[in-house]
Amino acid sequence: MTTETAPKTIRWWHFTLIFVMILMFAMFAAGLGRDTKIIPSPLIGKPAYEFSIRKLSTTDEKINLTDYKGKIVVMNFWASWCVSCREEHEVLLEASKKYGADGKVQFIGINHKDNDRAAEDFLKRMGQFPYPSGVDPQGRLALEFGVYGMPETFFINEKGVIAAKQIGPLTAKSFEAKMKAVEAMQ
Amino acid sequence: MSFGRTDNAKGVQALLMSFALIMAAPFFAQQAHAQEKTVAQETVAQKAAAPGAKPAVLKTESELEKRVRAIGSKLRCPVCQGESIYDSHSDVAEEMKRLIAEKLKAGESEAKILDYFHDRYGNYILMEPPAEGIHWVIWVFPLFMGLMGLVFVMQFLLSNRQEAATEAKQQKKRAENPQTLHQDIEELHL
Repeated sequence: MTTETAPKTIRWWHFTLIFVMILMFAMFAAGLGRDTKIIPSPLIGKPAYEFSIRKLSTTDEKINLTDYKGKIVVMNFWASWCVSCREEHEVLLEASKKYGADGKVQFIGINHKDNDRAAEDFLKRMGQFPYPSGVDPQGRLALEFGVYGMPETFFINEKGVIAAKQIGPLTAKSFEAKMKAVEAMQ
Repeated sequence: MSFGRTDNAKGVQALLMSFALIMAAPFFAQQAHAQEKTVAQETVAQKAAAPGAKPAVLKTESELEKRVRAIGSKLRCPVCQGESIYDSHSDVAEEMKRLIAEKLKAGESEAKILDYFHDRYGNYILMEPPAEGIHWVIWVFPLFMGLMGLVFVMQFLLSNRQEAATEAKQQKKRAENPQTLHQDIEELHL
């Protein structure tokens, strides 16, 4: 029969490991509370890439971001094959009527990895945007803007700086919130 | 608080040891995976280089493809689950690989290309986040847990050996002096 106690070093290891376990569980617990859809973009606060792309349904007309300097630009990446784009279509139509009327806010659509015919059919079915759309057939512009998937919307202030970004479909509420972020950055 | 050599203490010790080994498993798995990949690549290269060997069925990887693979393995596919763009066949990953190839042809360095994606997507795009800020925990933790696991295994084996030695010593003592056994029994009755 043995009654001796364990050497003190064992206790130290136990305590260290228990402390690390608690620390790790606390970190996991903190991570569980986070919204996985919110991925911080390093582009917020940085000047937007000044692109020049072909306008949808034209052969050589261009959309240049620099043409809209001095205006707030709402740039929405969309595609006819994107299901979530249908969800936010009505929101964009409403918002462009509300904010685009006085000319202070310019909306631009970026038709991503699509073809003109499919995009035109989509707009006929869902309702024409009262603003121009450019095309990004290979998705290179999307890479320039660090886009993850469709739809995504960038809010660029009058100085050409990206003030906010929406990953996924816009809602009236999220649109208002992003516009407030643009105003806050002025 | 003291952990004696009771069954409970042994249970706690075994639990902690299992935890340490489980937490260290991804580290060892990663090492094994990397080794496996290297061996596979070497085997293909050896087969292709062996004199008199039959022509390789697989297309030989060009220098450019090798460099695209090296960079693509370090970048996470933005629309996949934990897959690098080299492993993914999604549209985005394919486009990213084409862009990497174009940039390499234009003479850009690996570091510059990685920076291009990092500037646009942040740390998320890197398969191995840089060991800075809170990320250092990810790097140190598996090593730490691996060490802890080893220490626990050693402690466990040593304590068992010590117990066996003490037991053998006492049995020998009892055999030499049977009176000790009677004393032990009497102590227990008291």
